[in-house]
Amino acid sequence: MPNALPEKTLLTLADTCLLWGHRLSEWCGHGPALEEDIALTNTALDVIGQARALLQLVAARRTPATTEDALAYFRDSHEFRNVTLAELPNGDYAQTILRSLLLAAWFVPVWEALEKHADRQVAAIAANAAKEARMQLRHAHDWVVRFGDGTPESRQRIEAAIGALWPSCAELLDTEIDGTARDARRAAWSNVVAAAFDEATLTFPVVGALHEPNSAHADRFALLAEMQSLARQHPDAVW
Amino acid sequence: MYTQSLDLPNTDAGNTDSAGLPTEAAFLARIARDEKIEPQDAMPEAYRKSLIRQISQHAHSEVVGMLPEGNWITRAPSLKRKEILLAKVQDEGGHGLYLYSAAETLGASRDDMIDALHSGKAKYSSIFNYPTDSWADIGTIGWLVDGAAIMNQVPLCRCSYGPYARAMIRVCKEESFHQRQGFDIVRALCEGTPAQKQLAQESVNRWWWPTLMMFGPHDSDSEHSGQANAWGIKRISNDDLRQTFVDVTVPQAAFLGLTLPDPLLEWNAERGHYDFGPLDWDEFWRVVRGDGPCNAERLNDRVEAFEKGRWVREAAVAHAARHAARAVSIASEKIAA
Ligand SMILES: [Fe+2]
Ligand SMILES: [Fe+2]
Repeated sequence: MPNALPEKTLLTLADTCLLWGHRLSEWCGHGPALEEDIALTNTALDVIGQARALLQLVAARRTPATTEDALAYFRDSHEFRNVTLAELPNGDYAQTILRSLLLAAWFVPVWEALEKHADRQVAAIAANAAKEARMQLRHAHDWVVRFGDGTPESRQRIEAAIGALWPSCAELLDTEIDGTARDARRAAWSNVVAAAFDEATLTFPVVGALHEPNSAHADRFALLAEMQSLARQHPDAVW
Repeated sequence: MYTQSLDLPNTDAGNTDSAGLPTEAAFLARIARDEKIEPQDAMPEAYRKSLIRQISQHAHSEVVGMLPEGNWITRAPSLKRKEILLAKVQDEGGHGLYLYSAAETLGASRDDMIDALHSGKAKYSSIFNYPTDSWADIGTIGWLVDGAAIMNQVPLCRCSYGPYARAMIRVCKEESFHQRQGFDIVRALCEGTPAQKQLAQESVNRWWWPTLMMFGPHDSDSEHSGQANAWGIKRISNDDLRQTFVDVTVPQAAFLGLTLPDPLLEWNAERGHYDFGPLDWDEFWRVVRGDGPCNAERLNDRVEAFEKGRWVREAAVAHAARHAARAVSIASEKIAA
């Protein structure tokens, strides 16, 4: 297929969605209020759905064809291509919400660019994902504002979350996604995140230079050990 | 089960009506005519309290019920099963939300209801005090536990209290999806490898008796069933519901090629029903009173989530209050100008 988006890009997007969705799903039943439990699970369902659509595409395009589950459950940690931010543990609710803001602000321009891509199957997935990402962005934005402009404790927690997640933003912004313009995406991301921080009366720190990426991915290794455990105990099973 | 509160001693419902309320006879006559009682209607205080107790404990059951199944979301063995399970557990949270709202129409506050759960004063369905040791338990819970819940809740759709009846109609639609997805998990296991089939059989062995206990004590031992019947809250007796459940489930187990762990289970042509063995009522009361395998863990998880979320809720309230105050001061400046 001449216009096909390269597999490595599809996997970067799929794996980022899948691991982020996994982290969000860890909150299900443990959220700070029932309404938030339900909202966070909505985001988890959206991004896991996006991951599935992309993995199905990758699986169908491989020769010989494989399956979404083979890709999700039987690739080893070093074969995953997600941005590091997606795999980090949840931390507290401030950190979970901040991650959602940072990732949704990154995904919106990605999906909006891919919506127009000549790879029609990717464009269809992106069109749907763009709508979902805009809703996720609004939800995360509103909570970041409440935390920054809420109580002393919530402010201290969102500031700590910024400190914890900011080092991963350089890699996020540096990630190449074929079919999109990286500098334009970076500018869009900075505008959206800075606007949220401004409304939250928080300082928008400078995104530092890209350090040597953390190649160990210990968090991803632990996440996958859990996610893949049952499937790998029964490699021949159909579920 | 979800109506467990109707079977247990009622510590706070009084019997006397204050002045101005309808006589018990007039109220019972409305119920006998199958009229729905709505929030603004006069009602005996004992009816109101009994409903708050019933609806709030039903809500708690939905929310605590998220925990045993939530335990397998991160390990679901395929992405499709993971999505379905997430949606299912999310539905249970939604059920909790409608039910807390239905109880609020009777003047209860969500905070007070949650306090009662966390302090151990309010109960929730005992079935959620059993552990989910294997993936097969996710299938068994959907098939048997949600199946029993449907059987118990369908009659509640005709409950005399309007908001509860309407909440139940919505809930029951989703419960039937829950039961189908559970049955489908068990079916896949039974059609799978010998190891998968064994997981299914072991799971059914563990869940069968606790599921039958969900229908509550024998009618002769149920403290509130009589009053709840007269008020049109509960319409079918514990033993009748349990019998219907057994009659419906035995052929399903046979279809799956699973056995049910009861040597006395046998078709009785004369009665037109399955006979089944005696339930372990000692176990039932032990779990109800807090000594089940996971009572402490479940309550602990709920309290922990609530306490960890406290600062989040406080931030939302503080932000909203400050925002409202700003809006008022801008408005008053405009008026002054
Ligand atoms: Fe439910
Ligand atoms: Fe259910």
